[in-house]
Amino acid sequence: MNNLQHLARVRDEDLAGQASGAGARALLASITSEEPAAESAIGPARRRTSRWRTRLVVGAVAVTGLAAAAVIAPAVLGPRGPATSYANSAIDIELRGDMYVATIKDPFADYAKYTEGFKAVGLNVNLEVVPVSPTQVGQITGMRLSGPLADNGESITNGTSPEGCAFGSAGCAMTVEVARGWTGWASVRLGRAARPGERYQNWRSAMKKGEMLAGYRADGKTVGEVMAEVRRRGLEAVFQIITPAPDNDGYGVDPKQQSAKVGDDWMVWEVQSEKAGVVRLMVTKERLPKNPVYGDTKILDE
Amino acid sequence: MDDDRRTRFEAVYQQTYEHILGYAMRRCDSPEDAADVVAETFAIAWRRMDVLPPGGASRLWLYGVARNVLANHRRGQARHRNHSMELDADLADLYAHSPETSVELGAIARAFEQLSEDDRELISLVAWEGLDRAQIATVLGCSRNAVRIRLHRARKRFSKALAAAGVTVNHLIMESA
Repeated sequence: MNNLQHLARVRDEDLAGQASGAGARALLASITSEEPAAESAIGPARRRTSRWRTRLVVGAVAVTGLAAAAVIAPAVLGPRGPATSYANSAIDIELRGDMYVATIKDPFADYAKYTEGFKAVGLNVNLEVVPVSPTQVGQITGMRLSGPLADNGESITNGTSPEGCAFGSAGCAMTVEVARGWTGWASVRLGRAARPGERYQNWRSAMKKGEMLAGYRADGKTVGEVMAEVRRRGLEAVFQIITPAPDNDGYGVDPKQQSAKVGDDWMVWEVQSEKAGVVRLMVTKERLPKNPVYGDTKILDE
Repeated sequence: MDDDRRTRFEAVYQQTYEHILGYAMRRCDSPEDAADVVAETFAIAWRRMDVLPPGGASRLWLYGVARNVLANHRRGQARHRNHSMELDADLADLYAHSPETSVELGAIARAFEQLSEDDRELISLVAWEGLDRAQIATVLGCSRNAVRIRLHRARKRFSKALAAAGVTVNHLIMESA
């Protein structure tokens, strides 16, 4: 995003998955094994405690105001059933026919706001709206699901509201549609337009139609050749050194192996959109008999 | 009631652990210090569940707590928590794998280091934690307008320090909402 970010030791994204790591779990267990009422255990320095408390109260007041303003119209069916519609500042969910249509009112909202909305209508959906390259705005870029499909054979799809509108035009919002009667659990990533300089969180080939290197084939060419095209288009590039799997069936990215100086004679196997104006060349030092990213049969369909 | 508290805490912990870990790692030179800050921050959250705000606001609240823990730590007042071997091992590993600051960034890094702690923290909350003014106001417990003014001044001082170091300021975007 900016040079200052490079000064940071890590980005939060680099820490993805840490929360489920051994250290995080051990800490959680150790903290929650403590008696929560042990307020005075905060330390011998009572002055410190009271200053914290002052700050915390200020924070809590501000937040209460927010929450009250956010819930607009939760229409509840009755004391026993969940609501069929829900709205907060981030998301608007209503039942239309066989589908719950969730309209994303604020694509930059905290994810918890979305989850809260789905939960209110009885759906177990975690939605993350992430910055993506232009061709995947409004698309579901990743989904993990459990549970059978609903009776009508559907589960979760993306759409627009009003239907068929073009993103970027006034009043056009992204939607996520969930089949009524679907009882599973899902974690969904929906693409939104990136802010200036924001790194994309999808893995889109930059050679696809609508992306930065559309109409160009970089796979199997040398870094020198591809960089000439990158510069010709006024783009910048970053490198990602990939480690091919045995027999070049797939690849991995080893964060420890990224420091090598990439030469013009290195090989490019795929180029992905990194952020606006910047592509990411996925490279190896060696010329390989088979593309580890695509295999033998890459068709650039779109 | 107790179970409810636990469930709520675990949810917050899952949602914010990586953010708080990142916050601590970006500000601590050693994995041991970062582990202390993370452990102490969440320990406080566990004790103060009654005031822990729900949803996304909990992250901002925890940044505020982490900031105080860190300040106390720097003043040598923090009590060392007996956090687990696993956490220490995780963090040692993360530190070992985090890339070195590149040479070209040296001048920027030095200019950044020269700023006062308050200026650095403000700019960091924008550049590293990606917070906007309203969120920073929540973290720091001050008004949005105060953040706007302080941030403006901090950026000015930073630009000056950069210019003195011969760094072109144009390339350095410090965007915020």
